[in-house]
Amino acid sequence: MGWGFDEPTWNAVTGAYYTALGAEALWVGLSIVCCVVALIFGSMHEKAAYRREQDRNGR
Amino acid sequence: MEEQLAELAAKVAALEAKANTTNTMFTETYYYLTIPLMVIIHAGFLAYEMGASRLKNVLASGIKNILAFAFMVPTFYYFGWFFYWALQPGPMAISWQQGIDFANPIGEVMGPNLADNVTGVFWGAFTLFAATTASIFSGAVIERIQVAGFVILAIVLGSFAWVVGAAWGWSAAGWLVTEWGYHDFGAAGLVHAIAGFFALGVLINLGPRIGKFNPDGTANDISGHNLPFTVTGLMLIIVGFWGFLMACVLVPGESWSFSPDKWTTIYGTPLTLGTLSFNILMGFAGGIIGAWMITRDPFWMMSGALGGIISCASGLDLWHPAQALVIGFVGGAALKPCAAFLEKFGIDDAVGAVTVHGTIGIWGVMAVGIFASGVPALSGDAGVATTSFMGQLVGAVVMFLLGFVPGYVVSLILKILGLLRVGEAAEIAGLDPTKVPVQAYPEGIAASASPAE
Repeated sequence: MGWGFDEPTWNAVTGAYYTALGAEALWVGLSIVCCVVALIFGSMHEKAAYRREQDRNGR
Repeated sequence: MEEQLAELAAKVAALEAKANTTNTMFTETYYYLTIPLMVIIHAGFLAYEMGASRLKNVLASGIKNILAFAFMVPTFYYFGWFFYWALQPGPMAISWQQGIDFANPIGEVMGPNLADNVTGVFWGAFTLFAATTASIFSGAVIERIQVAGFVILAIVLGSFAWVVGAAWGWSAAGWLVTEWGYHDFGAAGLVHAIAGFFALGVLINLGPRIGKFNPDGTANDISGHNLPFTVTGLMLIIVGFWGFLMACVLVPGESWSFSPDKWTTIYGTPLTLGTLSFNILMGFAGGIIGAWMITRDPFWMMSGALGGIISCASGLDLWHPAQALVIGFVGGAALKPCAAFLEKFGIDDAVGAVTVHGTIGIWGVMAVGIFASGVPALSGDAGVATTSFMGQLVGAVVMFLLGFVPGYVVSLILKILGLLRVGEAAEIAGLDPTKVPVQAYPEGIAASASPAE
């Protein structure tokens, strides 16, 4: 899940390198969850704000 | 002698390697720089939309606009870029393998890679194309759309609908290009028309702002709170357009380039950056002059600048500069009458996006069919498809449908789910006081001095 490669120096690194090498699907999944959760919370906040305004004005 | 020859050969090999490295670094830098240039488009859209909003909705419009950009980046990473590669054989075919080879988000291709200097910068440039497409639609729906519904629509447009158009008509392997000779160098159809008609589909379901239309159907003018801000925003969009159009060009000399020594379009046909300079500037000027002649209004003049470039966009690599001015002039002059025509149908397009991008985008596509038929649409030997009126017409119809249908259908679903329009009380009170935790102008804005003073 973490660093993802075992090279002791940069000398032999010639291709893909990044943390989570080999665990990309997990991190892609987590990042999707962040986006979806934020959108759901955003929508709930918005709905609550409209309801408040409606109650205040009676329409 | 042999020793000298070997030494010379080694020197030549070293020089060749150096030249290749320089070319690769130049290529990477070239596309990298298009990204911040295109971010300026978003600075422009932000200013444009906030300026076009009334005081009570300024920040809500800004939030919506910023989120369109933010959500476009990950969704284009997850699937937008994949669809661009996978859908090229279409309309009824899909190449999953090509998508996986070039854009698999859970593979090594979509991450830092010392052996790949191009995927990241290409993806970055295309992501900004996607964000621009979504932002075009954003302005049309200000002051009454829910943020969550808007974000969903922006994702559908930016990470799917226009991507289909790009796969089909903005690639040397796209079926519209190979079979119909469709030519849309600067994306008048596949970005602007798709975004403009997507906006139209949404506006039909969203409805006009309260107070826009009178009971007899006549329209009222709803002015934004800051026209100078709007006009400056439009000029910033123009600045960013140079980055957008720069990114439509392929650099020579790389293994994936069409040419070893010439700039090419995305179709592999040759051009120079000088060609773009001539025609972008002349189209820009023609659009402003045409709009000024009809309206005398700075909002429409700067919209005319945008409309002028969009009018010329499909054939920016082909026009004579004077021709570009005329084509841009027609686009600029047509803007306000087209927008007024749309208003007659009860469509409240707050910033004229349907007209500037949709109608004028179609004009840009058809201009190639009218004035530039018979041009080889691809590189290579005789026998390749050529541009034609019919080919451009087919492309225009496809782009219209790729925009309008998903815009209408998805917004209808959101409407049924109660995720499309804000509540009536919130719309009347204003979206900023209803849901934004800060104020745009906490110290207020002083009223202008009256003429008598």
